[in-house]
Amino acid sequence: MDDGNEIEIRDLNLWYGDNHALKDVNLDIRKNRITALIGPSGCGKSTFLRCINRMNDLIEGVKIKGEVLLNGENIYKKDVDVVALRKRIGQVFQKPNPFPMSIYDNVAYGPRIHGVGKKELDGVVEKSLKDAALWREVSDRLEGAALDLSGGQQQRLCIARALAIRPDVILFDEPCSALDPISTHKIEDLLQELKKKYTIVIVTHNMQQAARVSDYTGFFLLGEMIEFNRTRVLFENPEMEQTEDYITGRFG
Amino acid sequence: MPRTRLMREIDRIKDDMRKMGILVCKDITDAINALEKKDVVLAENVIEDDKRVNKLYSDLKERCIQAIALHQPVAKDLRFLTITLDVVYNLERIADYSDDIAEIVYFVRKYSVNVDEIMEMGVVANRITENSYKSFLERDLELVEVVGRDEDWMDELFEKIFPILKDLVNDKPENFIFAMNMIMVAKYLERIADHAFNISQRTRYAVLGDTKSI
Repeated sequence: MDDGNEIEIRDLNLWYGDNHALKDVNLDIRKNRITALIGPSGCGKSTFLRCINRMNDLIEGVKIKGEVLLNGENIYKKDVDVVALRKRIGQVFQKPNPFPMSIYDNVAYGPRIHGVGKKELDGVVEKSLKDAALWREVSDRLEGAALDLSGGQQQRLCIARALAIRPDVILFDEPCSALDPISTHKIEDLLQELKKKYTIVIVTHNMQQAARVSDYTGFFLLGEMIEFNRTRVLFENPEMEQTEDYITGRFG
Repeated sequence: MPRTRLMREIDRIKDDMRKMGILVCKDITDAINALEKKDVVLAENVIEDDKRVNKLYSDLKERCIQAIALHQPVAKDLRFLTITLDVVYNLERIADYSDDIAEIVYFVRKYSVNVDEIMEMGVVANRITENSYKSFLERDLELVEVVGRDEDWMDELFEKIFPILKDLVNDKPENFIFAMNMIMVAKYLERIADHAFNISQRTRYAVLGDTKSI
């Protein structure tokens, strides 16, 4: 179901010291849709992604102006509990990063911190692994080491770990760049299932991947959002010449 | 990541499509000249040329499919390659109609009569075909409008043909076979204009991305 906007970005600016890395970005991220962010290296797309769950707060010398409204509430307000925010906005990173513990404990880690009791935990782990399309492959070895899984399985485990805390939004930062084509297709298929329950934002270098998986695509260049459009329109008939030049490989 | 290989291939496809367009237009003119002069040898040339057009068609079609598969083009490159598939199909069909007209020359070679309006339809068929593929190659929307006007003009000429041929047969019943064949020629020429119009409409999509024109 498309229920309007999950996140609204208003006049977002970010500086790393003197470097003005994001310039007046405005964007609406639709609920239960996949929004892809593309652009050349250093254009600001990952910086932008990290603004959505305040991961940039951890970087020294960062200054942020503007608003990121999660269901109407500005996540940069002074009294916002960042830990609670990151429970609502999960993130999956470029390289699979399972903890050096069992498959079960990886998924149970977040819920345990958030106070989920032992009784419920088995159900949460099973459901999260099922939702991440990994259950069938690991159900008989939940106590096995997560690091023994293949790269693609590790990434789906990280997705299960993100799902276990029941977020509203999941951010994916180049989730397939370290994976082979089969694992990549599994993640892409999984994204289509996940969007039924979650709002997804994905940063990708792979334009074909953005075209395959997303409903909306934003093109960043030098810290500016040049074009935000329905994915089909952006890849078939972009409105901005810079978008056309980038996606057709006329510069980059 | 400039995509120079794709751009080079698109340039080569454009060059070959232009060659195909020139050949198709020449065949229309030759077929009409052969019909006017009852020149069976020239007609045979047109029939022979059709094989070259078919070869160019299969070659261009294959290269477009390859470029799509290998380079995964997007935006105007994607629109160019997908519409090229349509354009070369329509050009190939136009060449088939020239071939059909050339085959008729044999059956009317003993008649000394001609129908001016059919000759004019031949001129329009050549012009509309040339303008259609050029509108696509040069992304020229003004030429698209010219093609639209010629298509209307072709329809008007076609509507005149039947009464003219009826009079021809009424005046001289021995012209009956000739008139029957000329109805077919007129229909072929009118179909050429339809295919050229298709090309010009696809041009609108290639240039503007206007999906109503697909």
